[in-house]
Amino acid sequence: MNALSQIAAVTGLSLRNLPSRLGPSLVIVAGMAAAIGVLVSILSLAAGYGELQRRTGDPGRAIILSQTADNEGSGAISRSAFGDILAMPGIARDKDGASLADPEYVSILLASRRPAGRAPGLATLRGIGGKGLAVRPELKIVAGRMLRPGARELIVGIGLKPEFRGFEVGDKVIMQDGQWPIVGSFITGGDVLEGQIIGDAATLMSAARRNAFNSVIVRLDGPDGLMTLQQALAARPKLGVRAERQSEYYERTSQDTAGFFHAVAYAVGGIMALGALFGALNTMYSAVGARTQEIATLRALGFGGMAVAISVIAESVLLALMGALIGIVLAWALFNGQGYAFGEVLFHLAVSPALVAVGLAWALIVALLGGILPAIRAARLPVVDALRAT
Amino acid sequence: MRYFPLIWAALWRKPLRTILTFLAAVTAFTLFGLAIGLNATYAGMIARARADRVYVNPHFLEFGNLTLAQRDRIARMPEVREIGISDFFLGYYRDPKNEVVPWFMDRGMQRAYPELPLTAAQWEQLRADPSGVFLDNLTAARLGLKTGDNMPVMTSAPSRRDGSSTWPFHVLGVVENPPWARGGLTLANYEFYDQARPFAQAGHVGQLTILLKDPERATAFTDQIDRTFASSPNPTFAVTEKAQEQNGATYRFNIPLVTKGVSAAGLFMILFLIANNIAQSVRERVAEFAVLKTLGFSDSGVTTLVFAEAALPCLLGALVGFAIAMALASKIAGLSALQKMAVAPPTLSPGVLAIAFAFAGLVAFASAAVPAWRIRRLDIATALRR
Repeated sequence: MNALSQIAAVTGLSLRNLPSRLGPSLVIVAGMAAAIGVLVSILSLAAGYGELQRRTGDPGRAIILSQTADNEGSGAISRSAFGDILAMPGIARDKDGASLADPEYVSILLASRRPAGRAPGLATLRGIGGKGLAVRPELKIVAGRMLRPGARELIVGIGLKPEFRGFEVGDKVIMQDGQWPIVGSFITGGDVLEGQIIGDAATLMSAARRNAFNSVIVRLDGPDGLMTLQQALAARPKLGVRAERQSEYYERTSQDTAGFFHAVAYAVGGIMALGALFGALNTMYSAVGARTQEIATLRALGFGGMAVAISVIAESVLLALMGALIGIVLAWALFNGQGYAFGEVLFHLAVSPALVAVGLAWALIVALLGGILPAIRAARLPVVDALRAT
Repeated sequence: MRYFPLIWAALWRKPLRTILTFLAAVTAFTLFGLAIGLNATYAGMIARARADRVYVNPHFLEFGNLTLAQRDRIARMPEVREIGISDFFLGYYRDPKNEVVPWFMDRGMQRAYPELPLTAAQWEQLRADPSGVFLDNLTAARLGLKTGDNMPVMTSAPSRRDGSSTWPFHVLGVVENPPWARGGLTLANYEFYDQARPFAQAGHVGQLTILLKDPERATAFTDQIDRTFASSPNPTFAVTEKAQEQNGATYRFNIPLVTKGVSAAGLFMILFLIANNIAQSVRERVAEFAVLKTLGFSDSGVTTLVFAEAALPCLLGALVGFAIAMALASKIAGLSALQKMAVAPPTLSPGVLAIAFAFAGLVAFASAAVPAWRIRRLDIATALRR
């Protein structure tokens, strides 16, 4: 008999015997379900957050910030600087020849969270200019109407509604200079803006008595647009601004948080996996113990030690993957698509196919580690003693 | 305790099984300790929150402000017992790395926020010497300052009436850091600040701290404040201290939910392992239990033995896991990533250890219930004949 058919025969035999070892087998299944379920659940936070940032960062756009600013919150671009930016090369133009560049204002607003009685949360208030829709074509009104330029009106992303009270079309929002009506709500295809409030940049700035924009968003002119724009800006050091590809900007500004989510997931998942490993070792040693006679008989019949060892590992892998799948399905059922508010950033948890792969890979590693020592013991079982012991 | 050798011997019949069980329990309770400890940190903050305290903030955190006129108007409201004002700015001492956030307070804060670690005499010192500040020991150590030292604090933009950006503080004294101020304290005089800053900002207030006569009215009072100032040039956002702390526990990470979920998953993981092991161990030793019963052990006696055998690795695991969690927590507390994310470190208090023991006992009880019941019902004659 060749090695492969030996392995198949012994593995088949051990798996057919599995129901008689149901109790110990459940230990691996339950342990892996818990460990991988927790790992995937926490990772779904990181995956959802990452997905949000990816959707917001369009590689065809660039964000222009002041040289000293790390992000749009701390950026300051004067009106005259914006005028100069409009004339820069590398920025796409519309059919009338106007630059697709839009100045933005960013602020935060205290907002009442759901349910009533909770302390206020923060919501981002973004001001856009006349070219806002041209630069961000993904923004579509789904209820009410678009705000009018220059008017003291606001529109709200649909992501705000489940988290905050008082952001329905027709509601009024307290602003620095009185109450502004919400005239419409919008979608953007699930990016950061969908959890934000939008108004007219110039009007918001005069209400806040501010005279600098935070950033300028531009649509780039072709693949070399960014390079052209960056060179042009570098040639004007007095402007004190720099351009960054929007996708890179969101990746850079989100990496601390994303890294933290990953660190927590892998630390917690790692401890859980270690516990599951001890459980798996225990189960597989007891499985080898329970199969002593069977293994000795097989060896006496001429089956190789390797075939026996592999049958032990196969059993451990099978049970672990079953457990991992249960954990992944539970994590998916409980958390996939759930809304989450990370401070003022609103997103949906995501159990993505990549996470399924990560969960199964972890389970596989734990199963191999948990199976290998018992497998060696099984392969080395002294045949004569084992047979005599019965 | 008399039967301890019996339990011990039973555990060491299969040393590998016992050690693996113990190790699994250790990992589960390490996680349990960290998670429940973190939850305890936040639960403690919520529990310590005073029901009768309310904070009034400007509605526009970034550019808004409150005014002394608003303070006076609120102070006249019949619900108010004490009212204090405070403000702050971001500055640094010598090097931009040495961040300093002076917290300017008026005398009202002495009564509205009695947790501040200043004695009446020290408050008097702060009043008499307005450019003086009190540091807590953390801040003093971080900046290398001691009582009597000059402490010029720079700001990135000119922030003084005379156009300069240096605030010439000096250290009046060093006080004990209260645990609620994890970032340290720099306590300064509001009147001094208000009189030295640009005229356009004079009379501005960052926050009002209010103690109410009736804690039951706190939420209604915050609504009333916000309604009163909704269409004024300085709209407010009032919040009770309780709500603020509850918000802190869920603002970015839902701490109660995540910690409870993780610890439940950890316990679930070892529940099956321990249940399986105790069932197996009892099955292997049916005859032994029959002998014990023959020797005169009562039904409850043998049941207790089974429970004890399940409980011992759990309780020891909980103890060792707790100790590891404690060691990890002190390491975690210093991580800059945690501070960046504004997550407080876990508190591994005796209370958390008690919870860990309680759950260890519960896991042992749940996993040993069926085998213990079987041994209790064991018929001696049948068992011995097998």
